[in-house]
Amino acid sequence: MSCSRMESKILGYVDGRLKESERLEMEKHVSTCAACRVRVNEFRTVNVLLDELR
Amino acid sequence: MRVYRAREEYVPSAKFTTWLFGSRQPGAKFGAGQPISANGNLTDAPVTADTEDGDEKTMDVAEKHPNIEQRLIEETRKKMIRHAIEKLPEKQRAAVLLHKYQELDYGEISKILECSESALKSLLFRAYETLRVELAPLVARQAKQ
Repeated sequence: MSCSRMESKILGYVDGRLKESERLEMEKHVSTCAACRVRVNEFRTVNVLLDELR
Repeated sequence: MRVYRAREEYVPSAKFTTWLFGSRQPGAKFGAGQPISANGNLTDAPVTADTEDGDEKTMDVAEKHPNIEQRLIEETRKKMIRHAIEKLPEKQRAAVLLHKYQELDYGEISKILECSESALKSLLFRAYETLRVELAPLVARQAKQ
C-alpha cells in the first residue's frame, strides 16, 4: 500500500471500520512507514477528542 | 482562579491555547496544594492552624477544590473542539457529524451528501487534517499522556 492510498483508509482504520484484509494491509504499511504511523496516531487522538463531545 | 491570576504572564503574541494548555500545567507554578486564604485568594504561604497539642498543621484548602479548575479546563477543551468543528467547510462538517456522531456508514453518508464514497473518504480525510491542525495543542498534550 502506498502513502497516498492510505489516505482513503486511515479513518476506517482508526475507527475500526475496515475489512480484515484492509486492516492487515494498513498494519503492514504502518509498520514500515514512520510518517503514516505518526499520522495514524494523530488521527486517533483527534478521534478521542471528538469523543469528548458525545 | 489560577489561570485568572496568571493572566499577566500571558503574552499576546503567544497563542492563548498554547499558553493555557502548554506551559500552564496544573500545579506548574501554582501547586495543587497551594492554599486559598479565608477570603478566597491564593496565598504564597501554606495555611496553618494550631492543633490542640500545640503543633502546627498545614491545611491544604486548595486540594478540596480541584474540580473547579478541572471543570474549567474541560469546558475550554470542549469549546475548542466544538469551535474547530464549526469552522470546517459545510460539507466536511456534515461528513464528520454524520460519520462520528450519527455513526452512519460511508454508503449512507455518500447518499445524503450526494457524492461518491471515495469523494467522501477524501472529504473526511481533509476534515481530520484540519481538525488535527486546529486542535494541535490538545493533540500534543493528549499524545504526552
